[in-house]
Amino acid sequence: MSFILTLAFINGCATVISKMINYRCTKVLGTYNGSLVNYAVASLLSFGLMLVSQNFEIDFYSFTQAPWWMYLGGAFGIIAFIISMITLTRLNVMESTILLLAGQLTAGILFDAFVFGSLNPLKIFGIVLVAAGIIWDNRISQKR
Amino acid sequence: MYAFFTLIAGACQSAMASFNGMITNYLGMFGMSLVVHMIGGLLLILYMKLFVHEKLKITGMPWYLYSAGFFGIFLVASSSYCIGALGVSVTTCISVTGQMVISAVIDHFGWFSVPKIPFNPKRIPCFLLILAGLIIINLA
Repeated sequence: MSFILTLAFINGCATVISKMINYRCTKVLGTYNGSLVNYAVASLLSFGLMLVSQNFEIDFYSFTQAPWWMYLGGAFGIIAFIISMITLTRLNVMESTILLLAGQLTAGILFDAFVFGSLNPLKIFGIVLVAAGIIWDNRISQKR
Repeated sequence: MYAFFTLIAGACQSAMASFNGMITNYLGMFGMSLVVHMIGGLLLILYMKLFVHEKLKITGMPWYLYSAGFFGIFLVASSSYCIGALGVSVTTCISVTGQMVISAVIDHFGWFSVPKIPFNPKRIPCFLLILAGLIIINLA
C-alpha cells in the first residue's frame, strides 16, 4: 500500500517536471507542436517498450478484445488539453488550477462510486479536506 | 462560461485516467500508453490542421527536451496503476499534493534555473490540512 501511495506522490512530482519540460518545448516549437512532441516521442517509445516487454510477439487479439469506448481515454485527454489551452487566456492560473481540480475530483468521485464501486462518506470528507487545503494554499501563494 | 468549460476539462482528465486504468487490463502498461498517445497525437494533428493551421514541426529542439515523451509514458502508466488500487479521486489528491510539494521545493532552491522563491511559512497550515485529509482517506 505504501508503495502505491509513494508512486502517486511521485506521479505528482513528475507531473511538475514534465510540465516544465513541456513548457520549454512550447517555447521552441509553439503551443501545439510543443505538445505534439510529447505524443510523438511517447508513442514511439511505448511501441518499443511494448515490443521488448512482449518478446517481439505482439498479441493483436487483445487489442480487439477491449471494448471500443475504452479507447476514448486519449480523446478525453486531448479535449482537456485543448479546452485548458483556450480557457487559460481568459482565466488566471489560480482560477484555472482550482476549476480543473474541482472538475477532476467531482468526476473522480462519481467514477469511483459508479464504475469502481469504492467510496464511502469518510473518504469524501478526506477528499474535501485535501481540496480545501489546496485551494487555501493557492490563495496564499498567489497573493504575494 | 470559460469557468464551466475548465470544470469539464478537469472531468475529462478524470475520465481519461479511468479509461486508461480499465484498458490496461486488456493491453498492458505499454500497449495502453501506445494507444493513448497515438490517439491523442492523431487527434491533436487533426485539430491543428482544421483549426489552428500551424505547420507540423517537432524537430530542432535541444535533445534533452525530447524527454517529455518519457515523462508522458511514466505519467499515464503510474496513474493508471495507482487508480487501479486507490481510485481516481484519491490518486488525484495525492498527486496534486506531490505537485505542490515539489513545486515548493523547486521554487525554494531555484532548481532547473527557475527564479528562487523562498518557502512561505504561511503555507504550512495548508499543508497540515492536506495531510489531515490524506490520513482520513487512508483510514477510510
